[in-house]
Amino acid sequence: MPLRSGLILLTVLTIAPVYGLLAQESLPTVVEPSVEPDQPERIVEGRPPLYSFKRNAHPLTWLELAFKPAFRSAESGRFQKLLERKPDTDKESGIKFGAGGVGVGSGFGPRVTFFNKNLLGRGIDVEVPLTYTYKQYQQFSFNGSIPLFYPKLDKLSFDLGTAYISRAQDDFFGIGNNTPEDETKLRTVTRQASAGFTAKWSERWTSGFGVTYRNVGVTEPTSGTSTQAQFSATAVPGLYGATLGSAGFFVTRDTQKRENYSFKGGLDDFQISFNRSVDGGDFEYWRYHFYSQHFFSLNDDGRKVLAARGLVETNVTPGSRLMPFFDMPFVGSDETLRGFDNFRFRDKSALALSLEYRYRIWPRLDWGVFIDEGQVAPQLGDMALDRFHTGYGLRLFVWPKPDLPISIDYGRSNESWRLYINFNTRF
Amino acid sequence: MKNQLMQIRRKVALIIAVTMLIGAISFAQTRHSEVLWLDFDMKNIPEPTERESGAYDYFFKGQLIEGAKRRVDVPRWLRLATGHLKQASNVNALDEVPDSSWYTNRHHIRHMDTAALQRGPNTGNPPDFTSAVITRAKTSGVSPGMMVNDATGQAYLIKFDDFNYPNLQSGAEVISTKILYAAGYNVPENYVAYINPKDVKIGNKVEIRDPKTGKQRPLTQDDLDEMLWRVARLPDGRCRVLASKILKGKPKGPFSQMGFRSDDPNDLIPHEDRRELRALRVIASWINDWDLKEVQSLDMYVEENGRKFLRHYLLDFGSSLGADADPTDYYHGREYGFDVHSVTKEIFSFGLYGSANEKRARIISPEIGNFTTDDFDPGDWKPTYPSIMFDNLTDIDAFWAARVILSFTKEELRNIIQTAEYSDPMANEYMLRTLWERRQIVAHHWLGKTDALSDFSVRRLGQGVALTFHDLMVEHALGVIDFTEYTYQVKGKNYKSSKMTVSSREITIDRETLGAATEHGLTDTPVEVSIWTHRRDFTSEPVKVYFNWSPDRQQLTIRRIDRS
Repeated sequence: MPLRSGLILLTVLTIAPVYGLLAQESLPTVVEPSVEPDQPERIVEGRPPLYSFKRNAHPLTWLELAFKPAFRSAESGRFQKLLERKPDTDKESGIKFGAGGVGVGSGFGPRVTFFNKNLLGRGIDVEVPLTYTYKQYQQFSFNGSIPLFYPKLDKLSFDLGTAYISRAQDDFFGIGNNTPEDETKLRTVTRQASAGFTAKWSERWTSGFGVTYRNVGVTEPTSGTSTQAQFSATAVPGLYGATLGSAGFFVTRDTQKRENYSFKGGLDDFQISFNRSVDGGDFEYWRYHFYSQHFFSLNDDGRKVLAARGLVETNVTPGSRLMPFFDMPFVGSDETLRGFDNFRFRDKSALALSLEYRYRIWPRLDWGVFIDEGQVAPQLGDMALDRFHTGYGLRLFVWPKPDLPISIDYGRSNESWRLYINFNTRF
Repeated sequence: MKNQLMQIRRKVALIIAVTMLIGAISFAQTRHSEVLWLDFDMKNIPEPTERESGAYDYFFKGQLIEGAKRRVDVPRWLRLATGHLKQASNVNALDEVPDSSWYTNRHHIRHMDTAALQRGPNTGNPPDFTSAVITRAKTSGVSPGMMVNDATGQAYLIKFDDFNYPNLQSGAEVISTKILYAAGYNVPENYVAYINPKDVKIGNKVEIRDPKTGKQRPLTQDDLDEMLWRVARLPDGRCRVLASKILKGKPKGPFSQMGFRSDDPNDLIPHEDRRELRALRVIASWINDWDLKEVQSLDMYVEENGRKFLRHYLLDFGSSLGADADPTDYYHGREYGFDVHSVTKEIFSFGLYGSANEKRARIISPEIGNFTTDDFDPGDWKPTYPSIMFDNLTDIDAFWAARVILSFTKEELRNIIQTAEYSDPMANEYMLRTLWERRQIVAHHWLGKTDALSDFSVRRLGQGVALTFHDLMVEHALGVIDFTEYTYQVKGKNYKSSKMTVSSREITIDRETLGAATEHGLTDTPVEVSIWTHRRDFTSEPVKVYFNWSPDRQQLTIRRIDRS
């Protein structure tokens, strides 16, 4: 230990002066003046000795220099040009470059989207987003929306979609509200196709009906202990995948606004769907899902906001039919129960509630304190007050634009702590 | 165990000793001991490169990194604890700032008459925009601006007033320019001028950034019309503008608010140790010129008297005197652009603490904006971003700045304000009253921390000597002054008189005391007179005045004034 400290000290003492001397401001030769005033004297005899050395040898100066290229680039370099480049909203087709994620725990990565907003001149909106995250999660999709009575009425559309989704290493802890913290991992690969109708009744109300075909494969994760090595297929339905067909209906009321660096309004979303195996498997269940979030301004300028959200989902399996684990609702994520591992608790029914108090601490900066409660159970009737898991923590919102919040959440629980970063968070 | 503890203690003591030694050495800049009125930093130098500056410099480096360095600066903490703050490096023996490429002693040393104060830095007549050609334009942002050549071909940067606030920004900029010029700083020639949009032509290859696409494209007449639609107009259709004459020389970027410019061999004094820059905080607080980022300065590579060197300018005073593109926000001058203290208070009070940025400004009138004396605390005044240069301000620097401010009389301020050409006569009166009140508040605050004695002079009085001085607190009626006394003590090389107290601003030193202090009549031995100012509940640190005789014993001269 003393030897290591000595070496470090020796290195610092050797490097610092050399660095300091190299970085010392060079003094170019003064060219002799052609005209001298009467009193060509200076108030000081020279620069203070060791001034530059002292500054340049300071470790914080090294930190400053390390960030300098990035800052300069953001201010006047290539990065700034990229930031300043505004999307051409009038453009009907092209390629968009951005960044994004693929749901809970996926991390984020580059996203390339091919789009055409008016295919064949009939208002057909086609989008092909391709996302690949640093955690090797992938999603390649095709989404199409065909207005049925174009151009007279574009509020009713026929929607088509296909997707390939690979979730490289989702956490799995078992099924139930009291599963141990022993984490396993699994990879799911989903190939799906969907079709349906969407009706936008007004600015607030939207509803739709659709059918989906999904093939979900479950395999070895890209890292960590495989779930398939730790659990049996009887304990975890769908452990080796499933092929499912679904038909569902949804209705949404959305009065949300993000303006003037504040959240306003609310969102209510109800979904019901029937799902079953299409390859002769044992899976068959009805899903009832309700999600609601609302923002209550405590003063006129939206500087103080109370935010609340709730999620209730239950899945009913008739008779001895089963439900695959990967479709079960879960708590444990930035959208349900913060401070716990992602997918920490899952079962056929789930309940999650969040309450937040947000307040402005500086223009474009909000601070928040939150409490999350969540539990899962086989049925809604099994839920009880003493079964709730509690997460709590702090949030920081940064608003680069009046309608674009970036949130950084620090969540704690009796099990662990987690940090969540969300670009364009919806809650 | 005990040995280990001893070893650790020894190491810690060694590290502290080395740190202090390095700190002491690095600040041991030798200062000129004579009364020097010109710090000749205008020698011929090779052309420096253009310096970049931006948010990295004033926020990341200036506020975060340098702020953190100060918090772990052990020698600085020791100086603070012992009350021996590092004083400015560029002051002469009389505690004044000599002329240099940064600063020229003007009104407070060399009195300027009314015409000179009204003229300020301007060397000619206002621009003639009867025919004007745009050479560059900025249509984005809250305040549009453009580079225009007037009828004589002279280039000006012109800035418009907002449609809702005619004369606000241009008026503020003109007044602040003249005040800062008279205070001694290098500033551009800023004129109130009038331009008729009909007389404006777009020059060749003038480009703007398209607000929709963000890409560069040629400026069109439609762009110009849209831009001028948002600006204030006179009833006859003309626009009143602030025309800033392009400075002579080659621009070399803003000067750093800390350290030196590495490619300027004339630059010997760390900028944070220049008194005129430290004290700018006090003068800026007077006129609430809160936008003092590095980019509000400019080094120009000029040629004067056959020498090429850098001259250092302050720029952009449109964010002063309650003005901005629209009336300035309340928090400016009261909080930093990112104020860690306010943020911390907000966080821990769960938003119940009302920071200044939450408060609404009191708008006096469209021409005045929100220039007031409301909650004005000169000691707590803040520019947009913290700067080591301003943090280094000592009471002695502030005393110097207060003397500069006090050199402006009410009548002189009235004359300066007239050059803003406000349309409402009440605006002139209000501006004068507020400037005057703020002047008094600033002076009272800073003079109250020092002896407040100034303008020392010595003369023969019979067989002895009379040392006279001005007490600025008393003469400018700043605060309660009904009880003021001065204790003095005369010292020589081997002599110290007893302390005596007088209430007049003249100290008489008799022949015996003088003889003892000068060691039996040696003329070159300076006599030191230490003076303490007593007011109600306050006694100042002593100001030491040194004087001696000329070799023929005919003249008495003050050699040095020491307040440190």
